[in-house]
Amino acid sequence: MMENKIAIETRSLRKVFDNLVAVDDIDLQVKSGTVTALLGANGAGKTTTMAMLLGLLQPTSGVITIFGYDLLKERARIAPFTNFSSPYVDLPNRLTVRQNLIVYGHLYGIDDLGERITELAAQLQITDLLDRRHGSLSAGQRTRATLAKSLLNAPRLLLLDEPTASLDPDTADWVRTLLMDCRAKSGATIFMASHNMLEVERMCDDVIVMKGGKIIDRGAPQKLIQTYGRDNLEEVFLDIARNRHAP
Amino acid sequence: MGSWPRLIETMFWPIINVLMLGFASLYLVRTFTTATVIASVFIAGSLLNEIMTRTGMGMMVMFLEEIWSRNLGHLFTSPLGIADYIIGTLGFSFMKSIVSIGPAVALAMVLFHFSLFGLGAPVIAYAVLLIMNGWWYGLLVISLLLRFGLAAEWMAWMSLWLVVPLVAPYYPVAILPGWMQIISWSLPATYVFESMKSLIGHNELHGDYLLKAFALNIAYFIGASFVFYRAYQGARRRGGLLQVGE
Repeated sequence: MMENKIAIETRSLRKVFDNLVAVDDIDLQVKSGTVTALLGANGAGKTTTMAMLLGLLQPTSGVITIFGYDLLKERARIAPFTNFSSPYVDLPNRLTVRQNLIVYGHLYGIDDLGERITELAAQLQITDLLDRRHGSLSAGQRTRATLAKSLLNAPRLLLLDEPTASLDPDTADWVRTLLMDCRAKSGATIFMASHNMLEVERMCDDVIVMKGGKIIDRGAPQKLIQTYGRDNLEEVFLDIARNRHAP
Repeated sequence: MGSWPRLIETMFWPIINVLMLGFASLYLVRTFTTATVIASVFIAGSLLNEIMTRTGMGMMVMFLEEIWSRNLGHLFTSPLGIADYIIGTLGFSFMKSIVSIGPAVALAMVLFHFSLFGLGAPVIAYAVLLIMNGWWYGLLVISLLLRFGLAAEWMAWMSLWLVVPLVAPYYPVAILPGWMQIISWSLPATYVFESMKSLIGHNELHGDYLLKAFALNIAYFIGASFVFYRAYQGARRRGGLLQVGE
């Protein structure tokens, strides 16, 4: 299973809410061990795609496979080696950081959980926060605590929604470095949605651009910048959002 | 359950209810020579009713806390299956119900010289059947929250108390208007409370009532599981597991 070179594959993936086509027959493949970003303006279909990849949203039609397993039929086999983090999904506020990590550690069946929590806490610099209630943490501290949860099971596939949203530039930079370190050490596949173009340029091997529920472009950040004849990814993003197509 | 304020809150309402009904019962006993049975029904009814409502409430609050903390997304992307989650809520609500009722039972013994255990072995069957009743009812309330999100929170709290007058913990079902009696006899808890009143008043258990309550509980639990499963699938179709709190 782990030898599978394709971490994520979708075929004719489609999601319709009432009469609104949120995701329109997308086919994508994400190679194992890469960092891939999903870009697009609000309403492009990123969140819907991410939610379907997480198994939280049922597609109207189409197939999703994660490391070769059909997500709709074999979620129980996939869940132990995937994880995710999002600023829009939180952990119980009344539990301490340690208690939250213990609960999720048990859910993911982590061996030597105490040791793993100590190791992650040191890595994420949250050792002194472990016995504080999650609800009492600042936005940056919460992000780090939630990241600790998402790294507990050393996931082979890490799905991140806006990983540095609401963080100050220093903390955001620190989080990016940490994620890249984790990826370098474990070879994990990272699939992320982000509006931070600098982040995408710095972290990602591959960028998928969505608009109106469809994939309209794809490539390495530098390749996209060259194709659109721009200086950076933000300008490419604006071209796409404002219908100024690549020459 | 791990925090003192929550533990106190859990025990508070059963204590208040047993105090109010206990003192009302004392008044009845001291004023009317024949009121002893009524007084016992009031206190036993209050304690047993708490077992049922606290079980359903335990399930509902557990789910609400996941919504309030926006934790559903993390839970349902973890290896936790939906069946595991439900089994967990059943176990938690059972423990919470037992913990919450304990001090009220003790207080009834100290202040009103009424022991719930004085009813004998049937009290175990009553508790089990009322917990089962609380379970399927709690599942229906969670289904309501899954379908409508926090917009239905007020409805969820209200619905927990909706059945209490219908299952007649303090009075005979025969007191209710005809149409209400039809509803009342369709609810498992009604048979438990009728058996309890019969046991206290006439020393008759009515084992057939307990069997009916058990059969109805099983039927309703199967029905509630189906409703819950549909609500869960519906939430997955609509994206409700991510947005249920909004």
